[in-house]
Amino acid sequence: MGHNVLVVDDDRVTLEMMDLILHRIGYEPLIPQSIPEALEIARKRRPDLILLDVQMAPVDGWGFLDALSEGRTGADIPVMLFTARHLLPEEYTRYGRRVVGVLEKPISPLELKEALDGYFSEGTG
Amino acid sequence: MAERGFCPEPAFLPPCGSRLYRIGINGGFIAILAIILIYSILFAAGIAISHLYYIPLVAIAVWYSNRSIRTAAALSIAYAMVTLYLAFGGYILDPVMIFLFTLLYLWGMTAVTLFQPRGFQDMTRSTRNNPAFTLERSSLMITSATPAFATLLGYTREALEGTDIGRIWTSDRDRQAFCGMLGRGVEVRNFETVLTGTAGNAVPVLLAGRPDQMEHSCSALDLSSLASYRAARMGEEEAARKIAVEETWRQDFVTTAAHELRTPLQPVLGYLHLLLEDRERYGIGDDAGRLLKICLDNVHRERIIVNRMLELSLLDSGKVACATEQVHLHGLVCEVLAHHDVGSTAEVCLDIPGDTCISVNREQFFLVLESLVLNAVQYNEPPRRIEIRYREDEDYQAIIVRDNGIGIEPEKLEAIFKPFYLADEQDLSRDYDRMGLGLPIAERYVRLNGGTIAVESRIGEGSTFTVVLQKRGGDGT
Repeated sequence: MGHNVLVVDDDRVTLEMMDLILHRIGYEPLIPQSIPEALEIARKRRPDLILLDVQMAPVDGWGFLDALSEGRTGADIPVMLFTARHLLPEEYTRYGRRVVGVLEKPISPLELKEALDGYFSEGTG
Repeated sequence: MAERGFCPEPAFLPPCGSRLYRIGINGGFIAILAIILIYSILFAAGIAISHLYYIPLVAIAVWYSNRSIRTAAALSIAYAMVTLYLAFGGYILDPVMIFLFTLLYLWGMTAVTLFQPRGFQDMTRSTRNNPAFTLERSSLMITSATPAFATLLGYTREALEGTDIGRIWTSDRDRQAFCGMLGRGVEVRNFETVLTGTAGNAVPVLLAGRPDQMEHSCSALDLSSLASYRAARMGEEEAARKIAVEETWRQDFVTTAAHELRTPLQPVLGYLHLLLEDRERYGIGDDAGRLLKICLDNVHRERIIVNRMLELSLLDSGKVACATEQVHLHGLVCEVLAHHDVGSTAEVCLDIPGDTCISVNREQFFLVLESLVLNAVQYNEPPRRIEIRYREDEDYQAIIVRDNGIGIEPEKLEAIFKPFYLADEQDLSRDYDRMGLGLPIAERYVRLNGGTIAVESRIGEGSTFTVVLQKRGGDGT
């Protein structure tokens, strides 16, 4: 069984596609239907990584991170930003080491696999 | 009408240095008076010494003669009071002589104040270079004017002096208001009005006036130069503000557009990969697979274009940082060539010493070299030949990429670093798989790394791109 990866995105089509691709590249996707559900899954299931979209509505990625930080659990889950927006480092450095990477959409399955494998091999190796 | 918030110092008001000067004069007068008084009391010098009062009193009358008769009367009374004080102090004084002396002083001081040359009192050194004039109280004639004021209206001083003030004033109502206030003894400041020049031209000024018994002292601030300056300044600021707003809008637009274009590409890219990588599972035949591959290639192409548009926008906005390091040029060039397998499509000739180092941002310079090499390959026909050379002198390092491609017309050379400019027009760009963004991005990255890029080209013979970097505190090798 691969690592659990929680995908937080407000685009249904992207979520479905990520479900398929993560399975295919050897990971266990957690696909919530809404932001509150994503928060609940993050706190209860404690995924190994969160792939987090930034530009979402009604709560954006930063709002999700802040909400997750307020809880007793889940505040230490590493986050990989997964966004179509170009982010400047100063936008996410305030979250320190929690943000372990930035993936800019669109990304191919191979590129996603390389990024995730790279992160987990670093973390475990 | 007075303008709020704008309060020029009237020319006749003493500047700081002049104030100090007057303090010195007054102090001198007071000191002389004190010495005379003490000397008279201690040595019983009596009335003879009192004549010395002429000196400070006449001097005061000269320096402050604009107070006219009242000044003379006040000074005479001051003389009489001092003399009487001495009389009460036990000195024997002749009342007739005191009276006669008092009259004599009064006459002398009145003469000084009334018969000195007109305009003398306020045409001091500090006002000569400023637009200023004096106005006779009763006739409202200009009695004197500084050269600056005459020039402002286009007159000579001689022509202006003796002129009725109404002749240079556009609005009778303003003139009456200004002169009326001075006539009533009211000091006027910041009176904005329009005077008439010798050619009938309007001269906007800010007037200040100080009333006096005989002549009013007036000064003017040229608002036309101030107005044009302010207008020019406001115009510049407005233009700069507009450019900044437009630039911000453009960057926001590109950023938002990039986001909106990239978001729908994600599922397309992901699904196309899934379909093509697992054809059997999804029942994809060869023909369908070929078509899907074309779709995938075009999605990749669009992704690159959007990313480059965004990259260019970020570069233009100055939001891209540049952390430099010592980079081995030979290794970096080989990396670029290997990444695109350039050796399989072109004969590559490298002339770079193995120990050559350049102080640049490695990732950014990879893109620069990649862009130049791909440009040399794509704008070319077999047999392709690419030369990459390195040259240096004491101050500069140069990387030269030369190809034997189709070349660029001389008049189009400057434009190739502009976004979406394609030297060979759209049809040819499709043939050569060009996007028109590689060179503009490369040029900006070179600039960001403190260098310049130049191009020479001949149609049918090829192009030579030269990147020049200034050495940074080392010999570069």
